[in-house]
Amino acid sequence: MANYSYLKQLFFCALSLFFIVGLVNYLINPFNFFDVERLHGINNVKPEASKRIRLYKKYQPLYVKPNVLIVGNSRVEMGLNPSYSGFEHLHSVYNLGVPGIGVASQLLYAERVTEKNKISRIFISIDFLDFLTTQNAVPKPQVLTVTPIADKYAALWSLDSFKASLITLFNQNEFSSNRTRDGFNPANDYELIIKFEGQQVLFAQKISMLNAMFKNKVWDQHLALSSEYSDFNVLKTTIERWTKQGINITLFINPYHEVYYDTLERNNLLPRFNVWRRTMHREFSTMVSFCDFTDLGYEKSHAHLNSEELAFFWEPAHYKQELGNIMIDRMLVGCD
Amino acid sequence: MLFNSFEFIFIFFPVTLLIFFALGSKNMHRPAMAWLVLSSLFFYGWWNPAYLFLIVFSMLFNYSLGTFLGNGTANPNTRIILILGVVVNIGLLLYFKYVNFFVAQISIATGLSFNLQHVILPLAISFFTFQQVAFLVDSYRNETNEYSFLHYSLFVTFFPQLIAGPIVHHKDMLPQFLQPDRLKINPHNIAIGLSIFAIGLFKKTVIADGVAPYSNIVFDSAASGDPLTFFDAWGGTLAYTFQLYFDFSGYSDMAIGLARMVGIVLPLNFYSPYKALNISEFWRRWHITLSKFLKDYVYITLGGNRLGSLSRYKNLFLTMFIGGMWHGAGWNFVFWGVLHGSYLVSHQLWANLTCGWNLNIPISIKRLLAWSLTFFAVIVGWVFFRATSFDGAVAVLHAMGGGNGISIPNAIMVRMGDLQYVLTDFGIQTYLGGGGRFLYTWTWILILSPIVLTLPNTQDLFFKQQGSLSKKAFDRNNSLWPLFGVIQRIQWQDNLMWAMIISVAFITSIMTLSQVSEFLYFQF
Repeated sequence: MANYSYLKQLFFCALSLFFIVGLVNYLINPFNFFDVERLHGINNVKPEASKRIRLYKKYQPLYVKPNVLIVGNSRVEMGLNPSYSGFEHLHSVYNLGVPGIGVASQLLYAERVTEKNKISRIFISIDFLDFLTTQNAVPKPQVLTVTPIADKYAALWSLDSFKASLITLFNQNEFSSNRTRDGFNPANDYELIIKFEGQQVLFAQKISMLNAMFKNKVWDQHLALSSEYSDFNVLKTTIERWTKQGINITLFINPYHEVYYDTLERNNLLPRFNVWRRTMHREFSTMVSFCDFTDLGYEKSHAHLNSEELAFFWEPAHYKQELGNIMIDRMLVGCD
Repeated sequence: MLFNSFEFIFIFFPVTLLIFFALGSKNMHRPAMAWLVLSSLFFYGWWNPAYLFLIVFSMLFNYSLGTFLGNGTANPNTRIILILGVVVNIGLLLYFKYVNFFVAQISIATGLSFNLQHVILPLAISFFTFQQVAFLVDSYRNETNEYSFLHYSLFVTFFPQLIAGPIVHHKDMLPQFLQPDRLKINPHNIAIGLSIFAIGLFKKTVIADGVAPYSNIVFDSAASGDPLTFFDAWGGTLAYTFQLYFDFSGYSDMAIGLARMVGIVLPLNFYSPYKALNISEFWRRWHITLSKFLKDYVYITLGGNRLGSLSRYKNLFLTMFIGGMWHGAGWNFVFWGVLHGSYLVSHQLWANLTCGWNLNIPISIKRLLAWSLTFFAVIVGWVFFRATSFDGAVAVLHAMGGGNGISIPNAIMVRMGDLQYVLTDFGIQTYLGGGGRFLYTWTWILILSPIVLTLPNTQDLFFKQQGSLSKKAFDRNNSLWPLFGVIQRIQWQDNLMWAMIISVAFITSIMTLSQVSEFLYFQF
């Protein structure tokens, strides 16, 4: 009979543990999957959310219910803060910046939100790097796969989630990576690197990454304008559709630090960058409000070479919210 | 179908078990056995139904030959029949396992290109071939009994051991299948089987799969020609050393646990090999059933130690060479086998040379040196076992030897305070990025090292419940076992504390089956 008793204990322990883990993962909510209150010192900072952005940004905007979206990649994610006072009159702004994905995919995330929420205004950032392709690339249609049951089951009952919950619980400090409820990345982890290693480390690492990324990349204007599924044409058709729906669109080119332009030049891409800018301006400035912030990139400081921290840039490709605030002010007034 | 999958744990196995016991409770012995065979074939066919024909043909062929060889009648042709049987079995194995490799080598040597279709290796062929070769040889030696085809089929296909062992012997398995009391549901067996399975599942899904990314990235870098740092190479190799240990040991535990739930006790396949003080002891503890097969059917067939020392060394070397080839088709596996053959021969020579020596070295130092040398030799072997090319393996070893200098991530160095100046004086350099990976890799290694060295294995935990067919328990022969006095008190019992431990292992493992599936891309 002892074995029966052992099996019963085993069953109840396993079942209890299963529910405890689910409850902990739900309450700590390390990946921002659920609309759970953030408590200071418990789960206010989300150090692990950065690892699941592509997943949770399919769901978070649906419960935040914004009426304004900021669309783009990691640059806007850590550059434009929805909590900036300049945005106050727009009610609820959500930063839908998703790192590491192309323009067509970024727009799919936004499309999903516009289908479920009443959106009045969208700020779309465009980035030269996202429009570069490899030689003879054939653009394919992008799809956003949404599997809410599987995703939420995994968010509640996966070891990843439980580990993330524990890390969240024990890393509630100002230097932990974080993603706010409105989708913003305050770049706390960059602050930590700058504190210990200096900003020059971020510059050195980014330049080497950029050199690798720019290798064998081209801006094929003919392909962009002719192919139905090119990022350029997807952007154009999406903007046309949203405009027809009465959504106010602002399209803007992200600024870079001057070192980024030097890197473009070293990779023989600067002339193409300028052609790209002109094309974007020509094609979109008549359709929507268009802002080119390239001029904001020339921060006349070489602080990245010494220990002094820059005012407007984290590293060559990513600007700080201080510069983002200037951009927001300009966009709200109108750049045209 | 994998043991560590939802469909196996929550559908296949419970359904198999329920119907098996339902048939068994009505004393329907043959239908219950037939159900297990059918379930096992379904389990095998889940991967690729086309290869069911291969395993069924293999069983029919070997059963017919084995029955003929074992009928006891003196026949001058029996030796030829045996040779034919072994040649067909090994021929099939050679074809499926090595034809791609041989064609590639011939292409390289001749410069000719052969447009042959790529041959896919059928799952488990290495295991069921060896099991059936042993059956044929023993039938020839009149060491088998008469078994029905049904029981023989179950011996070959029994799903807990079909895919990755243990390599079972007919003498161990078939008598168990014939005992009708094993068909009845037995809470004792369920409790033990479930507990052993949960431990195995934890080893595989949480530990082996958890540490795997830290070895993969290093060996992938080596394969693509990226230079490795000293700590990266050591970290990746040690991570793989533990990954392989927990992967294989976990799988063996799962097999033993599953079989136990249907009342079958499997042979021991793993017994804390990283505690071994010499390479011979390592092979008595690592993949025990393969070592036993190679010893009984290769080493002894080659002559064993009957023809003097030189012949013994040659046979040892050849046996390990074949063992290396068995693991896979590639020069790295050949070299790994040759390396272990050399290790075994060197160990025998050293043991002979030093048997009369009386060095005044404390025993603890001697044991530590012996363990370090053995572990180092095993680690070097794993580099060849894991690397995808010979050049890749050499690149990893080159970095492990400090050939690329010694450097650590800048993020770690700057947090070392004044120690960073000392390290810089010693020529230790820094590089950007990789701080997190460095930290995680070495944290895993620091946690897993004492686990493999001090904790009891599943056999030790369950020896009182006859966890396997082995009688081993807390065996310290030729091994290093720190904290043995404390550890030997740890044994499984059917109480609340163990129910909690096992449920933690089980639920943690189950949670790995639904990991949030997203690539960890480089941010920004």
